[in-house]
Amino acid sequence: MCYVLSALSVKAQTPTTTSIRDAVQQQVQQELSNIKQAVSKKGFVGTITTKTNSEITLTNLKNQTRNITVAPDATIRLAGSKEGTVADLKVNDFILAMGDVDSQNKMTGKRILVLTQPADDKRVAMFGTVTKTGTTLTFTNLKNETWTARTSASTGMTKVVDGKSAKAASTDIKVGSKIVVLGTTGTTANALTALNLHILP
Amino acid sequence: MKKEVFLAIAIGFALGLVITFGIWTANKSLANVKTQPKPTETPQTEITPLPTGVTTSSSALTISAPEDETLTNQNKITVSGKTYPAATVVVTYEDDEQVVLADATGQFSTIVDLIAGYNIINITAFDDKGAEATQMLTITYSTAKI
Repeated sequence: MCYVLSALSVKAQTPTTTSIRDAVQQQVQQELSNIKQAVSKKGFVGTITTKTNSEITLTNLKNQTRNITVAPDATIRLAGSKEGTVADLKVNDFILAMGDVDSQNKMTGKRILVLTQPADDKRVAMFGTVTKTGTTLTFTNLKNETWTARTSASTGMTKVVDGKSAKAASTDIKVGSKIVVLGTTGTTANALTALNLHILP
Repeated sequence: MKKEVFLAIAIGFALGLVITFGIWTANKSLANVKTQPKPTETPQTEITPLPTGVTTSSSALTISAPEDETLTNQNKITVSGKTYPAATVVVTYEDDEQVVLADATGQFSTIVDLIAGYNIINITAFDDKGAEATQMLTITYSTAKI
């Protein structure tokens, strides 16, 4: 009887069981992640910040540091697709390095290309509320800025019908409509050339 | 005779005390479970069972595939993730752009065309009030033997 009653009190202690399960699950996921990272091919893109013999450090497009050991048989292409060697790689070169990465995310670079820096992407996505309709509509974004979006026959317009995306027409846009616009900026401030326009329900 | 009776009473009393103590302990444990604050649910921002090491710039938008800095020999790749329920998701990449809808649970998926070399893919999600979350991926497409 005492054993039964004490067993009941132990069973009531569920939070400990849950936390142990969570800890084990976390550990298993970490181990699986380590295994997955142990064998994978990646491409690092960025600017060389340091170079020592065949060891390169680069800063990628997210400002993260990446370490690369250039393989002795690596293929290196310089600007203009000219063949080069590791000695031709310089600090401030913008490169694409491809190779195997280990569990520490360190790469053995097998193929390295020296490239030009990417141009700025002039596409911008923005949420707003329409204040004036027309071929060039006016909307106010969340910062209370007034923007215009010039639409054309090539602007992809969509709306939500029964929870799914469907084609929309410019006549579906009303004053007060909530929209997401994807467009390109130009020389005029707060003006977009609309590539896509989605009308929210 | 009186001794046996007295002994029986004493044993019965002791047994009763033990049983009472056991019931009291059980009730106390059950009461603690009920009054314990509910463990805070960890926001389910990760939808993939395998953490890929992809760090999110925003917990409101998680990319489950592909892993950032993936090297592929295919000219198309599926970009999928989880964000606000029924969000409007804008995906821009080298040669094109798309607007896709997340489902009621926030899941979305779309196929992106890749160009040879590196591809910068930007994913921006908006909820119905304009809250915004963004992620960027750099994906390399090469058919060279690496």
